[in-house]
Amino acid sequence: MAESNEQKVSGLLQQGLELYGTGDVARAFLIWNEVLEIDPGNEEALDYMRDADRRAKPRGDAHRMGQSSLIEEARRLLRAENEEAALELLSSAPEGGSLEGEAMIELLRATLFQRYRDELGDLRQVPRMVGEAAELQGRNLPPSAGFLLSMVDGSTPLADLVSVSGMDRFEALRSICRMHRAGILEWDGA
Amino acid sequence: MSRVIGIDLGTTNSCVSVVENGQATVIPNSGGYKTTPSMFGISQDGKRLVGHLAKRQAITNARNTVFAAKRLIGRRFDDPEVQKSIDLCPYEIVRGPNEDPRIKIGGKTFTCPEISGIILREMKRVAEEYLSETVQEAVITVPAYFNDTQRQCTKDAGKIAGLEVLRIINEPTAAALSYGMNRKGDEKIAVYDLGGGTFDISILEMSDGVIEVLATSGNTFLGGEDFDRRIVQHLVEWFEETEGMDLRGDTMALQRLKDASEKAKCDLSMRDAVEINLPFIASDSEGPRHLNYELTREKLESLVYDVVEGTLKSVEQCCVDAGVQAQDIDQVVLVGGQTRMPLVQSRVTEYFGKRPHKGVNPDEVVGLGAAVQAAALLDNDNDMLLLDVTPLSLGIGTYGGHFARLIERNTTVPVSKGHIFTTTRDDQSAVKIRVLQGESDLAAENDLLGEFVLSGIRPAPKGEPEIEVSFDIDANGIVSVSARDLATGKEQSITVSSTGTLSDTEIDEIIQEHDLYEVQLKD
Repeated sequence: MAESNEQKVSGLLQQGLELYGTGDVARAFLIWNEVLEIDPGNEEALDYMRDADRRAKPRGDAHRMGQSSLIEEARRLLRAENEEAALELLSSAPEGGSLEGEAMIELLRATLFQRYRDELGDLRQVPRMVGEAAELQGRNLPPSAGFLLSMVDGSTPLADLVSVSGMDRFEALRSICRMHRAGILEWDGA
Repeated sequence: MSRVIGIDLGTTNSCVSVVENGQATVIPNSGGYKTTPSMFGISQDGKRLVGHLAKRQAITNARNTVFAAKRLIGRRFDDPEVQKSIDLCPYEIVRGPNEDPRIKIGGKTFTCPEISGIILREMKRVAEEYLSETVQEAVITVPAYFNDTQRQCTKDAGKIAGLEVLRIINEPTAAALSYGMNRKGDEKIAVYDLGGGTFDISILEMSDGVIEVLATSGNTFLGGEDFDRRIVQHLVEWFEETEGMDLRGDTMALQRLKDASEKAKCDLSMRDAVEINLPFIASDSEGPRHLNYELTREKLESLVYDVVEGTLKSVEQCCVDAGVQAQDIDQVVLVGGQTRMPLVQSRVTEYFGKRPHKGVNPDEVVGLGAAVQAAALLDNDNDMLLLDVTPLSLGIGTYGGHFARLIERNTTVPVSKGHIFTTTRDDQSAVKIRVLQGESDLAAENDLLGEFVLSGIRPAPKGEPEIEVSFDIDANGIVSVSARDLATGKEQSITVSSTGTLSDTEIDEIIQEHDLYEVQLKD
């Protein structure tokens, strides 16, 4: 990991811990997720999250924000141009979120969808894995990412990968983008 | 002159070959694979997928992915084979307007020749890309037991793909051809064909260049995929034991397990053990879970031993039907990728008491034989003499529900035989003729190829008019019927319109639709 990223990760870990200390668990999770974006598999972030999750469980959804503060926080994240975090936050709300929240989710998905499309570029590009699949096991990837990775064979273009994954198109593009950013996937011209 | 390709249109995989500089060669697809899965699917975003891409969504989008359409082609909807497919296949099979089975995926209903046509079109495209020229003609292989309707439907599929099918030949015949067995003396050949989804055993008799199918047997629902399923089942159980997580309901995990199992199975034909690594196969609150397992050849053999033994029971039955003993067989030919498995080879060797032929890849051997036949059709100087025989007797339904054989089973094709019909009532102006194929003495137990009404018979007392009806079976094993009033010389053109086949208009409509789709794809 580059030195600048190491500093950023260290800062974010501290920030997340402070937020957690003040009881703002949701935002602490967002920050730790940011760490995992930069350094998938970061043990410290994973430990904090597991610990926080374990402590939160007996209290059920008590750690969750109220609907209005959730939207307020999402707006703050949007102002900071952190749409991905805003979407994650809103999507983490329990079933039956507010209409405003649902509208924001739709809007964010549309915005991010276009962003992922732009980021990926020409979908005829053929992705390759950087390194061996076995080397990735220390990282924290969801099964859907593992599934996408299993179809990367050095001859299947991005467009076909998305099509045959059977995943929601948005989710597939997001997953590919994240793996690209994390240096797991590469392709010519990227 | 453009080249003629040979296509092995398999239940699970297809293979295209051509003769270049006197040598039959398998043409690899753009991914470098020499076989292409006979699969067609529509992705969740509406994209049409053929071959490997379709296979990749076979589990995650099972309702919209068609495999093994060959089991359905040319059959009636009520056929037990079709009913079994309905029970086993995740995609929807519906009754067509001609009592034929049709496949409904992605909101559209496809005929079986159309699905096979899509696969053939892909094989044509693979060949054209490789040869850098347009291909218009092909030889296509079919199982030896295919009846007229199944052969006709396969020919229709070729037409839909934009191919003129010069010849349809039997798969075991093609396998024998690729080994040049037609050039040898009289002998008996066993063709053991264990493909991805079907198992066929054929006993052939070669005599003066004529290949006669003495008997065929097998199981249309047994193949390499059963081996894969056994491995998947084992891995799922092992993962549940070691990790406490059940993967059975997770389609993404199952798709990965299926792909990995197939690969491990293939690798174990050359190695004693393989590592199966599936990172991020599942996750829970503790984080991601990985599946890392070493599968040994010994373990694989214990998982599938009974399946292999099951094939030998069919071999035994086939020998009985052919009236031969295992030791009477002069040559054994292995066909189908699954015969690469050392256990299969050793059990077949033990059964026949002789080593099977080696030298040609078992999953390419049929396609190569088709290419050899294709080249021979173009080459007038070629001294190859190859004649197939009709696999089933041809005849008509007669009074009392009986079956009158007009062309006996195992008659060398092409063949033409005439029969005189007359009327049973005074001034009868028309007769209804039911054309059947099969071996039962009862009409109802044979396959109805079609029925037609011969009209316009001149008014006369019963028994007086003489109408000659000619039954022809061409070199492809396809039946046609023509009729002539001997008194007037008036000839009537009769088309046997079978239930499963498509009319020319239907075929043209399908071709046009697919042509439009081709344009859509290129955009």
